[in-house]
Amino acid sequence: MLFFLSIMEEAERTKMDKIFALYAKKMHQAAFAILQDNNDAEDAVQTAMLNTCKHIKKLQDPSDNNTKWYVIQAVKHTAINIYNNKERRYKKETVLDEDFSIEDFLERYHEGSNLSKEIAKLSSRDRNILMLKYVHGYGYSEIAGILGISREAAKKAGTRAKERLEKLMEKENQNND
Amino acid sequence: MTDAQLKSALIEVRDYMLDQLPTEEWNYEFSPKFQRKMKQIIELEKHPIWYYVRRVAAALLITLGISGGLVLSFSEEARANVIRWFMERFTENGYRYQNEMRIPVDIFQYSLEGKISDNYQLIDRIESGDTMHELFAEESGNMLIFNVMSSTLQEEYNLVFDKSMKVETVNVNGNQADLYLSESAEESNVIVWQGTNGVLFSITGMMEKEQLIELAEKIE
Repeated sequence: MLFFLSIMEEAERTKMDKIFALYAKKMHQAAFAILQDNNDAEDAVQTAMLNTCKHIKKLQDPSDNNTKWYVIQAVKHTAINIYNNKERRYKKETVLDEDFSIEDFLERYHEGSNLSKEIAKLSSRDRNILMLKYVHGYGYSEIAGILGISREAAKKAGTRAKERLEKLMEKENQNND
Repeated sequence: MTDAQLKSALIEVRDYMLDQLPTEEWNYEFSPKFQRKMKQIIELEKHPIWYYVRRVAAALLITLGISGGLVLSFSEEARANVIRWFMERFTENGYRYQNEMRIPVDIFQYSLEGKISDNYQLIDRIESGDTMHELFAEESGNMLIFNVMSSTLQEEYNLVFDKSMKVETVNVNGNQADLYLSESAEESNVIVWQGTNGVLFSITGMMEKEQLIELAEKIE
């Protein structure tokens, strides 16, 4: 059996090729900001790209914000896991939370609707679950796989976050009335 | 709050988060090791099933190779059985011929020369023991091979063909013949049959099945 690898025209490059070309350095930058080590940051990028490859079918356009958000979140999530594993290995107490890497939206996020401000106040995990569910269209099983949690935990967190937002919006609507 | 409203708000937050990412160029050269691993990941996307099949096949091959090699190196009987097993398992389209009767036949009397189209020229004829081969070539470069074999008692001939060939049973002068047809028009077809005197014939060439049958019927 013979294997032939053809050189692709720019238009025919695979999604992963394009994602790598567009975001690899940004991903490394994001990972380095957490890990402060180039080798660890490369490991984080590689793991994130591998996870992205597994869900590549859901990412329609490599250059759109959906994909950009997905890969940046993936590498940050991975970098935090690497950091925490290293810290635990050296029996250190410091453990990073997902929210470590997110700017303080409450202080800076003055634009946007009331609902988006409430979303900004959610924990990073809850926000990511809602983003994956309602923007990217993943099911809870897929979300669980992406975030490394159980399906039940993903569903519970997603449902509660949505209910919390609904209650907040309802209260706000009542206050406005 | 509808799902559409939630989605719209989530997109607002997402776009704001992305706008907060550093905009300056990140000047970093990835290590050769990283670039190699990324190439593998990109290959995974292009050929996901084949990527995993190769890995599983490689693991199985190594296991088989190590354990099989140990057995074969110590047992002659095992070696003979393994060879026979491979022939039986992987030559599904093999033609097995067994001549039960010892009939003295002059196999060298047979020839396609004079019976085949003038386009084909005889290139070579080899007579050796119980076999005779004639090799013909057409002007366009197409080749044709005519084989004749006899056998002594208890001998077997296994003609091995590509498993992807389609097999049809046809009739050559009242004798059953097997026609092996290639999937591609650019590959040869084969007709194999046993004559009334127990001699085994085969013609291999880039011909349609009707042409092969017509040619075979000119032999006896």
